[in-house]
Amino acid sequence: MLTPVEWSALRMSLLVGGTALLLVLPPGIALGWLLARKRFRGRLLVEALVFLPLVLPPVVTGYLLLVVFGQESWLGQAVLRPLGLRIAFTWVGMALAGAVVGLPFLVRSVRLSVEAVDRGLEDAARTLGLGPWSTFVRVTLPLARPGIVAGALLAFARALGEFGATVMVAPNVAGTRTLALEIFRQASVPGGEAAVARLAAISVALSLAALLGTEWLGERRRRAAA
Amino acid sequence: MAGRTPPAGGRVIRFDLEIRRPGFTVEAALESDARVTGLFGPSGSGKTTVLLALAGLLRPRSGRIEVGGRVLYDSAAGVFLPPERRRVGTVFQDARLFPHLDVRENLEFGARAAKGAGSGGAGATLDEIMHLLDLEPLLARPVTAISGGEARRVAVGRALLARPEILLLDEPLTGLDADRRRRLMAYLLRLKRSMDVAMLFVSHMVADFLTLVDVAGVLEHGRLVETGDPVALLTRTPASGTGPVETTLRGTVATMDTVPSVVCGGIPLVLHLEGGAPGDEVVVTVGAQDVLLGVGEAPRTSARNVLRGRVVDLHRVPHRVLARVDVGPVLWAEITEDAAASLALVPGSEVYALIKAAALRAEVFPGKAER
Repeated sequence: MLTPVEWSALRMSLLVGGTALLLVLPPGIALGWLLARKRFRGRLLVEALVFLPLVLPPVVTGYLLLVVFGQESWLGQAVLRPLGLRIAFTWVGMALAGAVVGLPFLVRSVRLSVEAVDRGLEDAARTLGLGPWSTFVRVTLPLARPGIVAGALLAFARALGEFGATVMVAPNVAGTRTLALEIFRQASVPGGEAAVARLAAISVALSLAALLGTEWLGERRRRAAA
Repeated sequence: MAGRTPPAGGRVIRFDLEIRRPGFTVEAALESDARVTGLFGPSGSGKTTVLLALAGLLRPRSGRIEVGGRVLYDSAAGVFLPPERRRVGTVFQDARLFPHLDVRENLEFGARAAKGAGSGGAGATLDEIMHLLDLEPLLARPVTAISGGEARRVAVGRALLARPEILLLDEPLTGLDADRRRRLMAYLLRLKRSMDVAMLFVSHMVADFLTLVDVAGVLEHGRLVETGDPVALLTRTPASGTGPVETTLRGTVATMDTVPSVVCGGIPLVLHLEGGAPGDEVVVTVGAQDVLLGVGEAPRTSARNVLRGRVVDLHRVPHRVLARVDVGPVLWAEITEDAAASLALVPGSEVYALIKAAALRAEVFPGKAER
């Protein structure tokens, strides 16, 4: 049904999107909680940095990633090279790009859902002998879960379709292209229109599934709250 | 003292706090070894603020908290134990059950964390707590499907299973209808009898307070102004002008025979009782207007309660006199100025207090569960 190239692109999209999701979850939940619960100096700066990828041209985001994670960067020279690691121009770099552009969606959703958790319940948990971390895991997290899951799905969908930032850090060799990258390549090749249409259809189906998942979770949450 | 329960195994609670909140300062010092210590005061007097400080959910400006010999807070020594290390169980007015867990999971919530915390405090098992508070029928229910009174009962059980040294109860009866209030009070009295845990009860309701509390602290405008016997403290002055003056007495049902009687503060009282069994705890209320005073020989009247005593003091209010009469416990009696004059009542006068059986209102709190 699908051609090997299409399979490869779909697989790469899911790999990059999935890895991006894994990368974005810990900092996304931590930052969402931080912004919802803590007042600290530099809060506005943290907030601005988190939401920057939302307004920045993705190509700029990609460029900045190269500046930070490239082999010639400080990080590259001091850490990556000595360890024989490479992020720029690998699929890991593509996943990182996806994570960064997906972060604002996750943080926003986590923050809103944590803000909606009654702090009185967290206090109650503390008086029952739970420390701050256990309270977070056993009370805050489960109560905020619907919002976290919805945010994670959005971030995943965003990472899945990421092009501008990804193209900057992608190796751009056969077998490493996501759906978005493959569409761009086929579109620049004479006679690639049919391939583009098929890839676009796969892309639409995938994104639609992710969005429907988000909506379904939101609906379930509203019903549970009612 | 009526119905005073022995001290809870030397578990002394002692605090001296200064708490600053925006536009509000609370200063409160109290020491008590009673089974149930109470904080009484109108809403806004700082009761809940003190309670939050004891629980560790609010940091006082300065002071010290000690429970059962353990220092929980000492500003001078730089000690501030976080709530989870205080072993101070807290039952909030709004119960605060976890909505993502059912009743059983709520009960077990604190028990898990308490497992490694060693012994001491209320070491009751889930079975014992379930039995004591009749929680079994609720276990599998989501917390959204139980009533307000039931939710508070679950919250009490949940707090006890975390094995606290002391249980804080923040207005646990407020907002319940009369019947639910009475039932929950019966459970709290059972708890007081059978669990090895000190309790700190916060309330603005005189009747609830007198029913449960052994040692009282009275808060006014953020200041703990007095500490002592609750009956003496709360019946000393006519309850701040509003409403009829009443006397509330705590006792136990003596007999349910043809003439039911209760014993309050060592004296038997004959009254009408519906339900109840000998040994049940009872709270008796009598209006000051329903207490007659007589001097001379013990008169023969239809009043079933003729109590010999002595006038403690007389309070003049417009057109009438409120007398405190010590008949064992102290009663309020309201008489006219004319009557006070013709009986020549002065502090120390020997009198008889006469109360009709029908004038004594009794609330019985069964020792055994009622369904």
